[in-house]
Amino acid sequence: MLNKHFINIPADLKKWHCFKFIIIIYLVISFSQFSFAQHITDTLRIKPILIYTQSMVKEEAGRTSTKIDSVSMIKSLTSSLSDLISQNTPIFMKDYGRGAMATASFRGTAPSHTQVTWNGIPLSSPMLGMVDFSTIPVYFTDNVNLLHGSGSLSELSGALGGIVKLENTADWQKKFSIRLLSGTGSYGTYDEFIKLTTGNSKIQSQTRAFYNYSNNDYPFVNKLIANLDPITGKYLYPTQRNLNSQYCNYGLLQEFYVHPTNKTIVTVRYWYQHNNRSLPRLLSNETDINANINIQSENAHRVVGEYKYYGNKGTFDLHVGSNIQLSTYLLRNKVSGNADQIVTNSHSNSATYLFKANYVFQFNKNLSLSTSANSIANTVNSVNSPSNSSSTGYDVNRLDHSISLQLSKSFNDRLSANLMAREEIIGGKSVPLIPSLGVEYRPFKTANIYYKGSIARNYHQPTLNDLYYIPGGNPKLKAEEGIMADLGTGYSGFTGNLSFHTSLSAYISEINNWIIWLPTPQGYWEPYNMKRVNTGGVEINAGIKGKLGITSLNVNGNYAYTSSVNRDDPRNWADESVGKQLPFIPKNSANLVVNLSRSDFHLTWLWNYYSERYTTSSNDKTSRFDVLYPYIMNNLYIGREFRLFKGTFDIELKILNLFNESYRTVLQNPMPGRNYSLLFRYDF
Amino acid sequence: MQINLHKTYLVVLILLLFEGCMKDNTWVLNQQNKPSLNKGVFIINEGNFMYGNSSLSFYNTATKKVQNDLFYAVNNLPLGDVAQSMIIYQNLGYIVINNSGKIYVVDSSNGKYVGKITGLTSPRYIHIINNEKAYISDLYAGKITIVNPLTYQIKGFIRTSGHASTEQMVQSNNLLFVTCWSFDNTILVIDTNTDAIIDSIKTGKQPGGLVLDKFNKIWTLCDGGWSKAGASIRTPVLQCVNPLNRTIEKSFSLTSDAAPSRLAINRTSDTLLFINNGVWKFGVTEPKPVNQPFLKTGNHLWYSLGADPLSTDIYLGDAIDYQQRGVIYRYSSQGAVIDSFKTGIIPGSFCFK
Repeated sequence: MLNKHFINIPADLKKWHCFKFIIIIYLVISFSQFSFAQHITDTLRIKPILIYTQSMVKEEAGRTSTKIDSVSMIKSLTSSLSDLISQNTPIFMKDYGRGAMATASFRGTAPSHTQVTWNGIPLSSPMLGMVDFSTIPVYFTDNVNLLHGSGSLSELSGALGGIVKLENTADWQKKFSIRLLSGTGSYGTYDEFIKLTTGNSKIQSQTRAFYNYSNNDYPFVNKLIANLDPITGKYLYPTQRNLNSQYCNYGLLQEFYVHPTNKTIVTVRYWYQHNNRSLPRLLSNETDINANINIQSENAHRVVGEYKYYGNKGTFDLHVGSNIQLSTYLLRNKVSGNADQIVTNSHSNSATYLFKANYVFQFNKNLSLSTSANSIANTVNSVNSPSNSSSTGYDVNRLDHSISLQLSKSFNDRLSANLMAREEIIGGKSVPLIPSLGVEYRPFKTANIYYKGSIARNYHQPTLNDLYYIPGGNPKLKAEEGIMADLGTGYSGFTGNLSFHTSLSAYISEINNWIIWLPTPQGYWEPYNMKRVNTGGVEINAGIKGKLGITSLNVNGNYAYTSSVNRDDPRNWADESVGKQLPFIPKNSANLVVNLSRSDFHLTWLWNYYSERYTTSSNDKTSRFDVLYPYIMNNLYIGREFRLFKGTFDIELKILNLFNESYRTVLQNPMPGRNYSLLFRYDF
Repeated sequence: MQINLHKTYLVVLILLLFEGCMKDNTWVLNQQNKPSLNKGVFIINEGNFMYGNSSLSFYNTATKKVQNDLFYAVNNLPLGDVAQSMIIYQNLGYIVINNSGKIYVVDSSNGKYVGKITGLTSPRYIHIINNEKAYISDLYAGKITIVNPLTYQIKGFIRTSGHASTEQMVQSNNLLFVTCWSFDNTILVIDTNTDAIIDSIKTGKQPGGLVLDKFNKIWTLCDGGWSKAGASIRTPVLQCVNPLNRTIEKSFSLTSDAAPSRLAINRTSDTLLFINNGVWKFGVTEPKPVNQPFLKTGNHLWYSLGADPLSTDIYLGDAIDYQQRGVIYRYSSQGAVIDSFKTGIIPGSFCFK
């Protein structure tokens, strides 16, 4: 009876949000269609249109991919990769707060199912199998590409959701250039970045460095705790600051590109980064001020060497690299009269060493064979030494090998297909064959319309923490096995001064032995295999780019419907989790970026939406903490560009949380209200 | 005409998008209920670590009705993160919220929040000595906090040097026995008159549960610590302590694959109960434990256990998958199910009223 009060208002809200959401999606799609229709009509009336038709790449037939455009990359230079991705792709980022950890859910999967590679090197920690997207600066990447679902198998296995590929490239035309960026923002936030490029058509060097710091101490009214007024007994909600949540990151990226002959390119890249942050208290926390003092620190060294040879009949490339991560986490309580009580004092050294060779042989322009072999050595040494106890931890190495063959054929200008098989040996044990098939068909020669589909099997191995962490590691865990299928269509082209693109893809996958960590009565957590999770959904992307009169326009929007359903066996009569959406995965998500520029002025509006997220496996809606309300965020950037000292100077004001929303993205962490950032950029 | 339609589309779209607001405060209750809580049992639901979704339920044994999310419904405040335990003293309920560093004090007849003890580190249990003194154990502070249970003020500390965690407490005359659980193997003995640690007793690894039997003997259940993956180094053990000479009188080893927890004692204080996959019973005068559980696990995930001090009933909490509302089963002393009902997420402990 009492619980009724919790759901009345949100139910109404939900109806409105659903209704509004449907209207928005309808308008976005119909607006883009309307634009196309109008231009086609105009074109027919005035003059023949030019249709840009991308040639079909047979090796990529059937793959669903997303490339974040260069304008969005520039606009997000001071952002983390989590902000860039959540704003420009259908991936849902679970954000634990400003400057805090952000993990990805790609197509309704778990964070460890989204792999991240940097110029071919896996960035995922072999301990956790996932990447904290909040720690990767957009400064340090030139291209961000997504390979959805089965498309990820062209790179590596185990990405049941997909892959985020980060790449750096050289501009062989540049002699010398410099980019300086300096920003200052609310809550004592500072961003500094420099990029130096020098070289010629034979050798190029790029050096980038960044520094990013924030006190992150934004104010908020805490309504999850209350003091009683000693006279009236009424609640007094404290106004607090988001204390102990400062972060400081800095890094250096050095790239050398050498072009010794017309057919070869040699590249060496080194990326060092330091991340340091504290994790704030939960809203309900009322501990001693000397308790819960924590600091999380990480030093990462990543190096990759690449050799690429372009032969008459084929392309060979070789990658050798490593990703070394040294992480510490210290959680202590100060106790007067006693030594500090160390709750957690963990030191984790993990390293991934990669050797990878690819060769693509073109029998003729319609037939190719791609071969790939790679070996990955993972090592982890993890030790936790709390007060008054012996250390616990593990020290494990695992060697993984993989070979793949892919036959790609263009049957004619309109139909291509590829068939791939991958064989892996993980830690000395052979994994069943991983096959994939992709097909792409373009019905018209002059219109860039395509239909594509793919089907694949995939395996995700347990991480080393899953297997060996103490306490709880479960060496009996099975690998997660996924079977996935994609169907997609798209249309792109341009008319007059506007280009446009739309795409729609639908997917289903069945993932057996899904790994989940759960508590135990002994007080620690332990991973185990769920029987099955079924995911499925739809991804829609639409965009327009070009000129409307003297105004330049660049609009891009995404919508994703994501179903991620537990198909485990019920544990007993009371288990209500079977057939329900997995916790914290929104069914609907959408984003829209509008860039407008006119003479020297530019304006960017970013809008982002996630529908409600359940916090329980049973999708209960009886208490306040069972559901996170829908997330709607608006940001606005306004700037002006000047010519200065033979270069370009840009000043931009960013208004984040435009409508000063009071909100949370997880249950117990407050988010900041409207805040500002002022950026100066100079390009020479 | 097309241009106008075009613009209209844009304007409507922009207005709709700009309207968005998340209304963080719309969940606030407008009405507070003050239920009447007579004879029954409070169920303290831990909730998920870091979610802050712990909750309080009350089961009325006379009407067989359960009220879930009681604390929030009555007080319009969440209980906090990981509610650990609860006791009742002079009609006041003291609910220890472990990962929120506080103890909420409620009127046990209606659940109304009347005060709180804050500024703790990681509190686990509260033991009240008298109107002016109570002890609070703590997982990570290396001290026991002394508070006034009626004014909620912190009065001092008992430092437990060399012992980071303190856990359950029982009192025998003027002596308080407290287990040091996490990574430890000790029971500390505190003189409640002087607040001084006067002795310590070495036990098996990680003594957690602590109860007093009808012979004034203290029983502790040591879970044996954590096992290293693939190796059996655990040594779970049930031990009996004589509080007079402060020595271990009896020690019964359990198998190395055992994971015992939740020690309780029945109404007549002559039979121990604990969870080890199933539920096990052990008479305090028996020469050795039986080799069959009293209740098998079946398809349950037994997470909590409580023995009603006013009847012979046994309460068992099934956490199911730890991510949804658990179920409480009420059993007779013969092992027959009397009743069952849904409660909050991860029902962790019981407080009988």
